[in-house]
Amino acid sequence: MANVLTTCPFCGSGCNLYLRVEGGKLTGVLPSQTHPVARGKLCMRGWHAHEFVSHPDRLRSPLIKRDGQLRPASWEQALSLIAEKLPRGQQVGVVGSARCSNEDNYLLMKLGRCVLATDNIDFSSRPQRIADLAALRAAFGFAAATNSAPELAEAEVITVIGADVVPEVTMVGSLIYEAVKRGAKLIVISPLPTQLSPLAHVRLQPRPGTEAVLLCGLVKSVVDQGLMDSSLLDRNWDAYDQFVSSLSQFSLDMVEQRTGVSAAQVDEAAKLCGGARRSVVLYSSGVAQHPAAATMATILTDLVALTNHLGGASMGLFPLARQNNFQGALDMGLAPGLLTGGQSLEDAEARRKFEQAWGCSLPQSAGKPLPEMLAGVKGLYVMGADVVGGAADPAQARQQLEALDFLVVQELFMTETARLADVLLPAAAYAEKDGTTTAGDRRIQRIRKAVDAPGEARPDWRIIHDVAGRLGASWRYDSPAAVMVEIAALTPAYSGISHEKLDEGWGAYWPSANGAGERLQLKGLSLRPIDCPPGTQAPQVDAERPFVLVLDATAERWTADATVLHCDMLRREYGIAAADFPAGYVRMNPNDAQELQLRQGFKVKLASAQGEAQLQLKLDPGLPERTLAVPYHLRERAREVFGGAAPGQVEGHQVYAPVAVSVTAA
Amino acid sequence: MSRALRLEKDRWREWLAALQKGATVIAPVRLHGDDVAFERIDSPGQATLDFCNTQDSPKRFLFPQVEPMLRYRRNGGYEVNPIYDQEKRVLFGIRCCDVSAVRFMDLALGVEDLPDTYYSLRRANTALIALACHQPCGDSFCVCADTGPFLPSGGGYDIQLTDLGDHYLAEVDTERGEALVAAASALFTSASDEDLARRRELDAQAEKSFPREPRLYFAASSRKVSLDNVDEDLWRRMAHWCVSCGGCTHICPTCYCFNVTDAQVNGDGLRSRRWDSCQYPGLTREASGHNPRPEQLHRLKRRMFHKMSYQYVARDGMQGCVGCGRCIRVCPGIRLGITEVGEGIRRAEWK
Amino acid sequence: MEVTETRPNIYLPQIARITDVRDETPDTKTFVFRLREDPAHQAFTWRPGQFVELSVFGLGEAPFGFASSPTRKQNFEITIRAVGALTAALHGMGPGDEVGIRGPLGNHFPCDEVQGRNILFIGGGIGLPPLRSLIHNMLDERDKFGDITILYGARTPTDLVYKQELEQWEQRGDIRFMVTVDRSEAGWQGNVGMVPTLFPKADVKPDGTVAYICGPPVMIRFVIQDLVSMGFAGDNIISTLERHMKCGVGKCNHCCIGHKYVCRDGPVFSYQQMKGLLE
Repeated sequence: MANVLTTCPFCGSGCNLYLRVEGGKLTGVLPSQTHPVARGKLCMRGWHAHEFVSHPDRLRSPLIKRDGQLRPASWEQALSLIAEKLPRGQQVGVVGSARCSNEDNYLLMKLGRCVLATDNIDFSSRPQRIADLAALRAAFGFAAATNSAPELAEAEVITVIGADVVPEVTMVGSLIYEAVKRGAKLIVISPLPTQLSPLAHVRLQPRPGTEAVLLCGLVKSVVDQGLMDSSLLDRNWDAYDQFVSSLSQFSLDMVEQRTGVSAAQVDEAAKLCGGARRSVVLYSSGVAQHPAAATMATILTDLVALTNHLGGASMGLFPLARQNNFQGALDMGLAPGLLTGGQSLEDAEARRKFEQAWGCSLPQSAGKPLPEMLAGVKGLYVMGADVVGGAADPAQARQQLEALDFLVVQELFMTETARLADVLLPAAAYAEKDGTTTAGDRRIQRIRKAVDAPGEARPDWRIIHDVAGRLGASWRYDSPAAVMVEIAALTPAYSGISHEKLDEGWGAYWPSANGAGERLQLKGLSLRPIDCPPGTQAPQVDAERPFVLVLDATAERWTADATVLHCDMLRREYGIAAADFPAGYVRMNPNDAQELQLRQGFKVKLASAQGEAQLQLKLDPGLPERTLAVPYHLRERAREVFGGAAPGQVEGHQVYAPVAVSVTAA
Repeated sequence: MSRALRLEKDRWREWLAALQKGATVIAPVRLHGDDVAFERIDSPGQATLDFCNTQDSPKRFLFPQVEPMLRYRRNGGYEVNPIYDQEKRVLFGIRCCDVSAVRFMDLALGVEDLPDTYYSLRRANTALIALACHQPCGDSFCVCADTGPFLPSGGGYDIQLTDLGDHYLAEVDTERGEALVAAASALFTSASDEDLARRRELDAQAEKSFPREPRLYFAASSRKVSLDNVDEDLWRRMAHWCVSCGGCTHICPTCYCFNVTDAQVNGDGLRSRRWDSCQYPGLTREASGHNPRPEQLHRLKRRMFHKMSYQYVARDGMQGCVGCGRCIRVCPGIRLGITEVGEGIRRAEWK
Repeated sequence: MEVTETRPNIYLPQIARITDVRDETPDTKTFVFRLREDPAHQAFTWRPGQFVELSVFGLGEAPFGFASSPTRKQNFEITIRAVGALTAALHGMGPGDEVGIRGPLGNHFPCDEVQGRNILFIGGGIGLPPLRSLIHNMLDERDKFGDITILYGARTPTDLVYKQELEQWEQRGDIRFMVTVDRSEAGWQGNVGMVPTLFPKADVKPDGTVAYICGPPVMIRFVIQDLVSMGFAGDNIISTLERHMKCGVGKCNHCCIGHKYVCRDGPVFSYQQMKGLLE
């Protein structure tokens, strides 16, 4: 019997928990009392984090597709076939995972760049974040949260934008509850209801599509109320005057007109958010997957820069990481042109350093990101990612994967992507391997092996290692710890990080060198220009189409997640909506339903200028009237009415803009 | 049948070594940081008595989070074989609140006319060596629940240890307790009258030292809950702080909702049960889709009713809440430990 | 504690074999069972109103009420509608197939206690099967009871269960049987209207009468209302409550209504008892 301390495999809060092991099997979990984020707690997912590991549907044997069917094969056969069939260079793409460990992702990245000679590298949850991450990087130099999660508990003001924190990233939500209990003021900004909304001291509910205008109004109000940090005004700050004068081009009356949020409310929010020292701003998919994501994220970086909520405790900007190792996947260079720790392939020194350490030359030409990558390559190597299920346009991704000459997938379960593989390799789960993951607040922590992988499943890093060997590389990593030694040596932000170091205390933050990694010290800030007033994506409603339909990316984040669905209890709980509404659903305010003489469960037809969708009605009293919402995981059923995914502000970003629709009984 | 003995302070691990010869010894073990939890020990050196209370009660050793029940397979017709855990266990260093919780589970699950087979079997093979509390720990309010900091004879322990400074007092309360002493009788001598007097003193001192908070005023909150005399809006406002994790019920030493599922494991079928929670919507959802407890406020109300109502005290023969305080710490919503909810109910207010 | 004959494993099913299957409606079948081991079958008995936890191994267990009387013990019958995975799997089974059975579980309809009284059965749709267990029991001991009236209704004629048996009841001279449907179909010449529309025709009177009602929750509510306004006392209105169940033996807490467990304190409750239940 043992209690093995590990990091939870679900969201980016980065809780630690103990896996209980008896007779070589996982028999339960125990929260960690002293972990600074978990603080003795777990969310529903964490309490069942042991269940999917031993699910009977775990892949146990390599499978090779013959005559359209995946059939059991030996590792030898599988690896040989990969060596034979996997294309190289521009013809191949590599897709990693925000679920796998840093060591897994690093070796995959090395396999891609060093052995397959390709820069077509990505991970499947990055495309959704491509716009806001670019804005963070441009403003801060880092695409990451500025402060640590535990500091949230001591904030004076917390502003939550475009996020339903509690169901999405629960323990971060818990830290917010803690702060509010201590007297913190909560501002919630979202067109849709959230679990925290009833606790908000100020609640701003802009019309869907007008959020960028509202945020701009918030910044304007901060400036107009003189809430900028005065120390910044003494500096001769580039573009400050330009920035302020651009804000003067619109008024809060215009904000009210476009968003429906009154000037008084905007002023109140600005006063709180800008006025307190320990003021944090959090955001999630409501910003990241918004058509105006780049604008909105830029406004937020400007906001925290303007009020100088940077560098101190319990302040800053906190993008939510919805997956346990989203930050780590980014840190390990799973993006075209990106090396580890934010280093760029275009930096000659960094390139040289890696080429020397790796003993190979790195690709000269920039690779393609997802989803563009899928159209351009003949072969794809996928580790731990459901490329189809996670795509903004699953139908297109499905087609593109089917058209590939050769697809290799490493997975735990038979996901949709796995089903399309030519070679499917069984991977070990988090509880079956050692390694590290990096939480959304840059805390690097250990995952530890508690039980053996089933059948012939192997840790992802080991599989990559063996594939590399077959392709001619002579790697000699004997453990994930050895891989981390190399990562640390090549990555300034991770310097000094090792498994031994992470075993003391509760992990370590990057940048680790200066020790105070909880807070990013950001130098050389400038305000990023924003178009003022920003456009709105609010559709035109009229008598024919009086409703605004939104694809809600903050709702039901876990409902379609493969690991969640393979936990018995979580499958029951997260499966309730699908069981209640087998034809999929759209949420509507009960008053609207009554007016149209529709009831819960009724099949309705939504019709926009682009197309139609048929869904069942789910009544939600929290929705504003005349607003409808379909959860993101049902986007395929609603594809036509939205007209599919459209390009966002940044290349490669695919978004669903709100549309005007009519509603009739189907 | 109580007998009072002395055990030299630095010899308790020798006793553990002796106990290990005949049973699996489960004792508090320090994990990472300041985490202390019950774990089966391989050597006495792993055990610690330097802790306030373990973050997890020993519930899972009598009522596991996942428990196999029976195997079934087709062999012509069906063969069904129960899986029995016959292991002998000693729970060492268990606090009085947790001892009382076991006594409650014995009543709730071991009812005379229909005992829970698997619980009863484990329970019959488990000995309890309690460690009385000199001071309140963290969030506990056992003084409100009358389950500690010390227990009288009949309180449910086989042996209750009290730290008297340079030695332990060992109050042996049952025949099984006698057998535990007999495993290493050389370590024990008779206790003196002074020992017993000191024990009574420590008990009284410990009781007086409990802080004003947290407290659960059972009578007032139980009354309201039993009569359904709590405004639905109050439940609703409290439920805004609930993240539906189920942690309160999982960590609670007297909660025992469970679910039963069948699965294929290596060709055989396995029926097992696992912890469920009244805080999960799926517990009561019917096949038709109807759910008698559709919102979190209904489920919060349910939890309080089961833990605090007179109706359940009458049914079970004992109150469900033993005042261990763990639900306070485990709640991600921070405020829905039983004491704060109880206060909300009692005062009919929730800010 | 040891597992013995007097303290058996309450979670361990016995094996039963299907000996016959009869179609009742497009989605409902009656299954006839015998316990596989003969001594077990001889020892097996139940009281009307009780239920079993039936295992379809691999899918789990579900509770079903006995639809036949212990006075006819050569087998036991359960009538089941296909609503989910387990019942759908069951519907795919036939004679010779095996299931697990735990039971009898729960309390039972008052039977001996109401000897000499007039009995009124009111069944709706799939609510008739558990009543049938008591009906057969009383018919087999006919002289112990006063007037027996059976009122039964379903949505459509197709949805009526035990169609042939209903005709036999109609023929009997020692009971009053009336049937109705909410919606007629071609060929139906009987009553049309909800079950309460039969009350005046059946001359329902509260004096000395005990009423047993089973059916959809909505129907039970309305019928009870009608009976109460007719003067029936709460103790003389008997019905059943349903909740999602798991263990069936009062341990897992799925089926609680307040501090009552539908699987132990029920499923049979008088209206008087129901009124005192707190959710």
